[in-house]
Order: sequence, then C-alpha cells, then structure tokens
Amino acid sequence: MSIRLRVKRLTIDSMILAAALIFSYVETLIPSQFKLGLANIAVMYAFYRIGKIDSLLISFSRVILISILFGSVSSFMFSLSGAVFAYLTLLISKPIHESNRISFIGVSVMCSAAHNLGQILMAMLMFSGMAVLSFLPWLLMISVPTGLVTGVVINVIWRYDILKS
Amino acid sequence: MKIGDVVTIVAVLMISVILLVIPMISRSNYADFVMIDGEYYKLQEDNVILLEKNGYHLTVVIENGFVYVSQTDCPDSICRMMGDINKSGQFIACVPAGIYIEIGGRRLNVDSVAG
Repeated sequence: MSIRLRVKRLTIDSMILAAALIFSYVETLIPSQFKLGLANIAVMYAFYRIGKIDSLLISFSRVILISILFGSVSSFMFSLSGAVFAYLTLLISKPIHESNRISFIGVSVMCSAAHNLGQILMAMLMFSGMAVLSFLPWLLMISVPTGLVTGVVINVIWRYDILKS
Repeated sequence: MKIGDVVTIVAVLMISVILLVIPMISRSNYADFVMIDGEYYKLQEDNVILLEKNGYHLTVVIENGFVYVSQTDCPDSICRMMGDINKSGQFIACVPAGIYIEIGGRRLNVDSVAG
C-alpha cells in the first residue's frame, strides 16, 4: 500500500477511534457497573465502512484507552469481554446482513445483547458465582432499546456518509 | 426495518422472559424466607430493614409476603427495575452497594431460620 493510502487509513481510523472514545466517555458518566456499549456505533461503522481488521483494532484500542484513562482493572475486564463478544457477533452476522434480511438495527441489537452477555460471563468469572447470571434477563431487555438506538444512529450516518466516495 | 430485525428483537425479548420465568417455575411454592445481604428473615413477618453498605443506604420492606426496596440513594438503573418480589428464586440486587436480596432459594442451603 502506498504511503498516502496508509496515512489516509491511519487518519480515518483515528477519527473513528476518537468518536468511539467519546461514546465510551459518555458511558463513564452513567453510574452503572454494566455499560451500554455505545462505542459499538463507531466500531460497527468501521466494520462495514472500513474493514474487519481496522474495526477490531479500533475496538481494542478503545477498550485499552478508556480503561487507562477512566477505568479500573475490573472495568477493563468487563469492557474487553463485552467488546470481544460484540465483535464476534459482527463477524457472525455479516453474511446474514449481506443476504439483506437484516438491517443495521438487527445487527445492533444482537451486538448489544452479546456485549451484555460478555459482561455477565466475565462477572461470573470474577465474582465466582451463579448469582450474577440472574442479571442476564434484565440486561438482555435493556439491550433491545440500546441496540435500537445504536442501529438507528448507524442508519442515519450511513445515509449521509461522507466517507462513501 | 427488515424481517430479520423483528425476528432478532422478538428472540432477544423472548429469551430474556424465559430466563426470568425459569426460577419462578422450578421452586414456586418454596417461599418461606428472604435473604437480605446475608441475613435471613421470615417472609410472613412484616419488617423494615435499613441497610448501609459502601456508602449507599437502602430501605428494604417485607410486607404481606412481598419484599421491595422502598428507599435508596443507589444510582444504578438495574436496581430500580427489580420492583417487588414474593416468589422463591426472585431477587433484587444493588451492584454499587453490593447488596443481594433473594427469596427462599434451594441454593442457599439453610438449615434453620433464626427469629
């Protein structure tokens, strides 16, 4: 790849990462242990617009940076787990999305649910008990509106996308 | 909004409802006591318990076989969704305060209830 393209890629990825950081920062203002996964807006956009590797790098960078800046070791573990699960669902849902049976909204809801599932599983590991599993139904219910919001935002961005050239 | 979206949303909601209902069905009649932050209380006796943990205050009320949190300064949103419980297996929890409240489940392995 030419130096020009590499610089362009770095710049665009960095901008998307910055957006992801802002989403995550907003989440740190919400006083809950379990996060909504708003940064997925940026990661999902990068996944479909830029590429799989770029979005993965953005996701991990976001987790690391936010944990260093605003979080603790435990929040890092939760965040990482959620991000991994969310990314896996992005990968899995790609073929379904391409067959045009599901829009960004559905993918978003799945990512949100996976993100929360990842957080619960990590909490089960860390607090070594089945008690945390009881949160799962509530978090799954919350993941629907969260996913809807994320999906609608992506739909809007996609329509007015300036990177589409 | 495509068909897959609707399917996904419905599936997620259904799974969450099923997960919610399972503990209620498996132990439905075994509702004798409630465990509040490690202490056991009888469900039949009306009671008001004031808890303070990690800097958060919770007021837990046992009334007519129902357990609910009447007052709290806990900011967590999960805390509020729990509502009032009366069936075995149901629980209320406040993550910031580290307080866990559950009704008479088998896994608590209690030999006797004091009081």
